[in-house]
Amino acid sequence: MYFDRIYRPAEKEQKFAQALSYAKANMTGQWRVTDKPTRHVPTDEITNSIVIGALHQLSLWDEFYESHLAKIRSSELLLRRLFVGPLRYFYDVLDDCGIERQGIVDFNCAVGIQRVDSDRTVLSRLENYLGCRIADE
Amino acid sequence: MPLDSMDSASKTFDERLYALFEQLRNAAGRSQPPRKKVAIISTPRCGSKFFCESLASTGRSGYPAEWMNPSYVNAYARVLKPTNLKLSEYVNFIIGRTTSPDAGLLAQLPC
Repeated sequence: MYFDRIYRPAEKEQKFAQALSYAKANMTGQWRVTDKPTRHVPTDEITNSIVIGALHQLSLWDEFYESHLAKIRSSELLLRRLFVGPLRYFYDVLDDCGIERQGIVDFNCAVGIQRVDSDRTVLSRLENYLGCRIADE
Repeated sequence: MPLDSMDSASKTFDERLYALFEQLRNAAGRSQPPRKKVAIISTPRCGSKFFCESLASTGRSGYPAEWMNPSYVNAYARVLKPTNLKLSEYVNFIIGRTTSPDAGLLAQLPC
């Protein structure tokens, strides 16, 4: 399959928070805030090993992309990796694809934030286990 | 075509995908390929969904989603019931129904 452009959005800096989010989505089946969960998962069930396992999966993904994008880079495909703010990135992609826009594009998106207060509890427990801080408030 | 069934609050993830592919099945296909094909790749849960939904909301960049996610392909197979599941046919189906003439932001890999 041929792509004219391949974009890789800037990755989250807080990998443990991303890993927790990934673990929760896998456990609950709730990939969006609007999805009906297939099961309720108490905080106690989200163990350190589950979060660390999810982090392992994310790191495998990152390594896969790194190794395969290196091959793409040498081909005719153009790799764009834009480390800028989300809004600017959004405009950059529109401009790069030649999609005309006049001034600020008023986009709206129904995707909501799924982070909840109990996430901090899980991450604190993991911090205690690791003996170091892993997330900033 | 707005794919607004993606946001139904009373559906599970799988049910939402089935509804999406029902909607795509009933949509008219486009024969002309998009001017540009774009892939957006990321690790799960990094905010790429927000980014892709924002692009889709412009109405000019197609409907980028995790089309290569096995759950999506399974939903396609369940709803469309092809005799043999062929990747090329699946990709053509997606390109024909989710891209815009300007740019087909085809694949988000993964969410």
